Amino acid sequence: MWKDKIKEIIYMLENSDINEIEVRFWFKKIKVTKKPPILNVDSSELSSESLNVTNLKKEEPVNQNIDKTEDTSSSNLIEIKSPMPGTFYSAPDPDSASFVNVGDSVNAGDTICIVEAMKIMNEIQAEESGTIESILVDNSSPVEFDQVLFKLKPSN
Amino acid sequence: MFKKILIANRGEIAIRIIRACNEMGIQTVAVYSKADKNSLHVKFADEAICIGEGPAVDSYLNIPRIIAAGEITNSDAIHPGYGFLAENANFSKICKENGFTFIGPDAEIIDLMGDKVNARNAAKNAGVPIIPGSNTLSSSEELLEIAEKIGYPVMLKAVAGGGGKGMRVVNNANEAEKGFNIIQNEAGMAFNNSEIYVEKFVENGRHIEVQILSDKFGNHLHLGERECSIQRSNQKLIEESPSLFVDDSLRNELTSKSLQLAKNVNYVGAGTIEYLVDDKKNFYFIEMNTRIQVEHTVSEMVCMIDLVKEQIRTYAGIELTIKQESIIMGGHAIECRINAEDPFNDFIPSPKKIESLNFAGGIGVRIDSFIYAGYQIPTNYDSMLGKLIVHSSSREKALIRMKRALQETFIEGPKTTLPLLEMIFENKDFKNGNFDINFLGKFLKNIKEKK
Repeated sequence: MWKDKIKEIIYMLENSDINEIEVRFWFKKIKVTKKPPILNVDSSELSSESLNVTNLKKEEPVNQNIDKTEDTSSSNLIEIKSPMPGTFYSAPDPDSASFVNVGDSVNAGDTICIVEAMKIMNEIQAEESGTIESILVDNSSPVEFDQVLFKLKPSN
Repeated sequence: MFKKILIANRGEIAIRIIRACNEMGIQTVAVYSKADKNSLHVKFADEAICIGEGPAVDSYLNIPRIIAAGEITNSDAIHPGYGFLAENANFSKICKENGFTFIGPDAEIIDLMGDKVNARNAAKNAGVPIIPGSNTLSSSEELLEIAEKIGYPVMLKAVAGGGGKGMRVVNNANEAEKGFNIIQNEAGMAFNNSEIYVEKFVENGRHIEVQILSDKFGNHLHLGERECSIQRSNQKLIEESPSLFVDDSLRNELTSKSLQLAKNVNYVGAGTIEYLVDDKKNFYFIEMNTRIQVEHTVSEMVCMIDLVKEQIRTYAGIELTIKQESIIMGGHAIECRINAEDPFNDFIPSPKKIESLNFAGGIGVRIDSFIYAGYQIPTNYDSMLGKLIVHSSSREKALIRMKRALQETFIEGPKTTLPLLEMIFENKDFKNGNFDINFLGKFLKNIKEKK
């Protein structure tokens, strides 16, 4: 619809003696001139709704920078994520000690927690050997798919 | 009444259900895939649980994960919406076994209606006319014998089929013999069930369906009919209620037979019985959908009943308070489906980012959608972006209102069905109600030839 309007304007311009047409259509202002540049959507003349969009766009690079700094500081840590939604258990049963605590070293394949879904206890194993840097979930609290459960510092 | 409902769906229907729950004071839980992180249903629900990756098999079709999400949020019921697990008997059963109320029928009813041959027999027992045809075929010899009796062309169909798949029209004995094995193989691959049956092929019919609402106390209501003939390869595009083609005596027949079928199978909740109606006003049972449908909105508009709320209430075990006499089809409602597809290029999906948009407004206009400016349409799911519904006192006025609403609506970014819809609302045959299920196919062919 929007593109059709531009086509329409160009057609009108081509079939007239006028050199320039400026139209307001919804939130946008389009200016079409015969001499190059042929089509010119001037962003500086956009109305307030569109300005909000530009503001949002400006924020994006900032966020990306933050992400990058986080990445560099934690690049050597491995995130262990929940493979399913369910309930997180740090120990095999309420009376036992936790599988792992912060600072413990684990071997690849060691069970480090349980995620219970549909009454089935799914044992979650460490993918690599290393040291548990942090545990991000409390015992018996709900977790989502892909939620980070542990951060592991690999041994090599 | 339920305290918290988990919605095992996405898109506009998830929002439709959240809205109903919100107004009923019921808490809502959205489940979502990683591809839907920025979807509106996630933001509108009281709680949201990520259940898996983008592909539906890992998320919206993954029963253990949905049940787990219900458990960790202490939900007491699960609403499946339409599509995905809505007509999965196993899901209905598992919900029940895990202590959740499934807002849909019991597994037995889904199984009965999901098996086309069983459904045909159930319809027949209720006195609903069925298209002449067979039970499950044992051999190509049996097919030839029956096809000869009912007359060509005939349609070969998968017993477990649906959504336009596992169907083939054959025009003579030679084609039938060849088609038998092909469709059997296709059915086996698509539905894991290679049983097929045969029906007479009705060429020029209208697709007309009856909305049913039933409770656990044996009360069965109908909300009149919907006209859904504007479709391509079994995908509906425009629906309306009432149908211009249905007069009082046909309506009486359609609705009373539909109610009889609902009664016979002890149906509960919202359901739809679909019919093919020929030009002589003979009608034949196609199938029963045991869920809320996309086009439920047009019946809501003319009957002034919130079908999703009533559906939730009936499964909470509350008796219907609405009486059939008080349901009056008032005025005329039309729904247009806005899909992210290129209607002039074989309906190729166009999962782009929504750069900007404006939806129509004003009196008698309703939008059921989930898109917003800046929303990236995921590639994993259905292409429907939303539904534009208008209501007015007559069909003529509703047509004018839809034309206005289409003019007000624009979506920038993806290609959509909007320009095609605008063209259809200019068409004389469409405006005069002069169409059948072949209308859209011919209409598109004409456009192609003109280009």
